[in-house]
Amino acid sequence: MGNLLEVSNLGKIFSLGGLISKNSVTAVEDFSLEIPEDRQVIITLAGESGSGKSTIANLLLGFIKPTSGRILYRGKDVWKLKGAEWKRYRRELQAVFQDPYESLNPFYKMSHVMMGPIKKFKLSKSESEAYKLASEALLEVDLNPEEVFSKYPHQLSGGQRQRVMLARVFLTRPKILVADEPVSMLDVSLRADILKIIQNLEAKHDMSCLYITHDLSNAFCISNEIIILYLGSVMEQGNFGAVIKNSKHPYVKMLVSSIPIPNPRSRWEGRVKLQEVETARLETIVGCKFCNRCPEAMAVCREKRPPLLDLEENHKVACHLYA
Amino acid sequence: MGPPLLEIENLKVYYETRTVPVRAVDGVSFAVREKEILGLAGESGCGKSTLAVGLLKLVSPPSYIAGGKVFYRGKDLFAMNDEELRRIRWKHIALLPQSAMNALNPVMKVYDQIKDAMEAHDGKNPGADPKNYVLTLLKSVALSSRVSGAHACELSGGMRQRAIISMAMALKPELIVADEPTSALDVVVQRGVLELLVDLREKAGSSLLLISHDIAILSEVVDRLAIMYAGKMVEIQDVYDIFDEPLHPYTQGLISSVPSLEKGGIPRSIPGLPPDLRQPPLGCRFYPRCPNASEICRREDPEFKEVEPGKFVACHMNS
Repeated sequence: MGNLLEVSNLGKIFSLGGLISKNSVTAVEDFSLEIPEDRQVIITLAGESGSGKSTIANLLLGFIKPTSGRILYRGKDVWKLKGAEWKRYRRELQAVFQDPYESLNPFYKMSHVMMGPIKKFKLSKSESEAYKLASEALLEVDLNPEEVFSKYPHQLSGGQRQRVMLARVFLTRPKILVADEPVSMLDVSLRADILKIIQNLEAKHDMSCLYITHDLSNAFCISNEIIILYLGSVMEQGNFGAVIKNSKHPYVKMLVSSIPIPNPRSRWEGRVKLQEVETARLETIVGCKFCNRCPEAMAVCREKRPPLLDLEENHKVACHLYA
Repeated sequence: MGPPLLEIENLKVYYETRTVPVRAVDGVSFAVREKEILGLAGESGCGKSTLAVGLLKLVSPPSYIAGGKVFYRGKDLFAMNDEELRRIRWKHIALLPQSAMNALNPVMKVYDQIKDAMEAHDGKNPGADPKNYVLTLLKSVALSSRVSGAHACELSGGMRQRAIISMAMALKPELIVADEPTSALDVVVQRGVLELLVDLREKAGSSLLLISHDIAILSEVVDRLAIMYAGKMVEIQDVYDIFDEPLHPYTQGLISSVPSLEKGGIPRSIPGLPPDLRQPPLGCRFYPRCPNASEICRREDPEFKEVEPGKFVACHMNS
């Protein structure tokens, strides 16, 4: 079977300044991703701020156009889709974002919010059927439809608002969900519920998910594959367990060892080194993007960008140490 | 661990509204001991940050101190006049407010700001060499001397946060109250900044009250952990003991709701929501969400007390 979504060598360069200055920022470089058609996956896309995670989300959702590379959906270039095909892509690829309060119009009740996708994609023939669909979707995310329909966004809690967003996504029965930091605005005690809903949609309703986050602990709960980005490039990717328990890239090792474990008996060992001054602009780095911070940097790291190497089955790393 | 440095007795900080006040901090008592790191955790809206500003009487309308006392080395802070309090603040007790990295003045150089803060709270010191001292301070937070001449916009979030920490350490305070000092930082930088704060405090022999919503972060560095819920202190214990045997059902829920790379799997959430602090429940504020609640919990507010040496809890089922 082919791939549902195939992203190859995707790149995005934002140019800054006016017509005269030629400053630019490489937000994403040579990014590839595959989501298979015959089975569901939850892939985590992780990285610190400025690593390009949200740019990738925006590229996949068609909000911005890639500078290089292609996004193929069901074998067709997304930027060449037209009419019904484009609509199908927009229906089958859905998104939830970090702040549900920003996604919801404060003037509309939830009943209106839920009707949006039904009308847009003509999911029902009659009004009563529309309400039935909306109620089912809300029940799927453990909300009481009768209670929620008449509420405005400010009358719901953060967790409830995010559930409404997921119910809305569920209406269109998407094949892929792009979830950009869906729980980071919520209180710790409520996050698990949202993660369970995403997991449930994957298991019961054939939906794959690209879970974008900076928080590996939450991602590890539901995801089995991970891609770790640093300044727009993939550093390491593969099986989630292998990448965190047997990290290869010096950046990933540093990242994983800095993640706090909620157990006073496994505390951080040693001290992490911080940068003393701001580093040079990224565009001036020709070698590995991490070489200035890397404890194991070699001469070659400053000269040549490391390719993404296959280490073992489903574990890749972009580091000269393993060449 | 030393004797108490700061004692807080029945502190109440409310917010005025058109109807009834919001009881954000409602009768909280605890002590920060000499040379300890005390962690304070709780969900958003539980009163952690209000407590941090309240204990230094840094309240401004609509918030006000509705009762209670704070003693610093036995001296009643709330009985002092503004001038006396100003001398305590920063020099003896420094506060790193939430999103402190946005607290730098955008049009002043880092050096001038640190010097300013020192002079405002300690007076001008004619014999001293402030330039050199500021450079030493910056070095102690791993910043190069170039940073002293920089403006805030030239620095990353982590560097700004470190500049603020160096400012807080400038007068060698005995207590640092740090409210979410690392919450907007990337994981690696978060660890680095926290380690710096802990090391500097160790060297200076000060105490640290570290406030965070993230108990995983707190478990990395604190000696004791305090848990707040809906404006009340619900538990304080040694950090090892509280993770081994949390006494309050809320603490139990909070600890098991945190995901861990060690364990994996989806953690448990706590059903329900925190109460409206304008009209909190009559009895225990946690009873509507509590799995162990009984009749008495509905009627009576449990007293926060020491049930075993060093173990404080406010729960009817545990006293």
